Amino acid sequence: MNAFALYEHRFFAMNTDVAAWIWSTPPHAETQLRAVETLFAEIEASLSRFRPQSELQRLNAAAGQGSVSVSATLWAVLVEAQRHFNASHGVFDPTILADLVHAGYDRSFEQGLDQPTPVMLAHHNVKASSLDRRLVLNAQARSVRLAAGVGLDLGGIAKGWTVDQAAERLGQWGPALVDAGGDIRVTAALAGEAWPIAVQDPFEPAQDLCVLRIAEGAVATSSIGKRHWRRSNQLQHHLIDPRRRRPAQSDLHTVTVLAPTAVEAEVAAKVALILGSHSGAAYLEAQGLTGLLFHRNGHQQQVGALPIDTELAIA
Amino acid sequence: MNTTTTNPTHTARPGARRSVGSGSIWKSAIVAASFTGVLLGWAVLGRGDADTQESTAVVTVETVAASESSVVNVQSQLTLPTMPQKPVFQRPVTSTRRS
Repeated sequence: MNAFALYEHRFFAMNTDVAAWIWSTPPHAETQLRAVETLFAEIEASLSRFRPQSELQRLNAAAGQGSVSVSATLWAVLVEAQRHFNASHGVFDPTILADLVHAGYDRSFEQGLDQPTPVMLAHHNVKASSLDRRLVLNAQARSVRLAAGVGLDLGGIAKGWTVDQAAERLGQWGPALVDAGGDIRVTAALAGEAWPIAVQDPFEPAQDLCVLRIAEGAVATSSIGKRHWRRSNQLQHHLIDPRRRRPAQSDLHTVTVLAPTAVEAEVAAKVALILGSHSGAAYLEAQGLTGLLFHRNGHQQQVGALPIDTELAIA
Repeated sequence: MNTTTTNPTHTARPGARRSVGSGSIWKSAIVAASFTGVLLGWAVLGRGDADTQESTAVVTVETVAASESSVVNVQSQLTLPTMPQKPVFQRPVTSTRRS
């Protein structure tokens, strides 16, 4: 008789560490965990802007040249991106590729960004406009048309979206949790017990501040503390404020958000950080979300009620 | 991927010694009744022993070498049966990390 156990699988994808857990039996657990890794690889191959042959890069290369038919995966992510653009009134904007590159984020972070960039894309002076003018989605044809000079970066949504896809598939075989670089989705409690997830101290990464208990849902964290570099002796980071077309300069350092799905949590964390503590907290409350805001000065601000476990020991 | 499962050794219950008398019918009836009672006792007590053994079985999975492209291992030892005994988690499974 196959015994039930908590199976774990770890791998590297989308430039981050990924881990997945499922309470199930072999061979289902093993098969489905391997499928999670395959899924991440397939989606990364399609959506990464760091892969010249990815579907996303081919779409970017076709900007200004008419409509391009896209896969179901890319279509689904773009539809989600459009929805979050509208919900955030443009604070979440997937068409920030030129601004990211201009800030120096023109290659995978692991390749090192604290280097002079020999070739920079022209920073097209595309005036901010409605997303519908820059990114046209044709649902009937499942095609996409990018305006000239517009480039897409899905770094602020693709990882959370993939986590959701993986978790929902894995969760059909038992209670599961998928974690990709801190974008976490839980499908169900285990024997009625919510999964304990530690909250990392953004200023002391080796320490945890508290433990959250999540039975179903997601948590994601956005921060300027990890992906940052220097360019022209100025500190840059990857969270572009579309309104200024520069790295966000709010009073926040890190934002952790709890939401029903990982993509919602990921986007909301980014939006809140860009907006700053006052508007960011209001945004989260308006969306019905809860979270933790870590100010640059070290102050911690809680938004809404959090499922904090006061009994489980932390590191 | 290497996965092993271990189970505790089952302890066999000693069988009751049987004896069959000869001669009078009443002696045979007594023996038969006694034998029946023993069988019924085994049926009741033996089921309880089986339940106990199932609830204490432990699943242990060896950690696979990291050089393999795909590694799957069990994070911790957990007791059966189908659903784990509480508390399930002794420490956080993972943590929020800035991405």
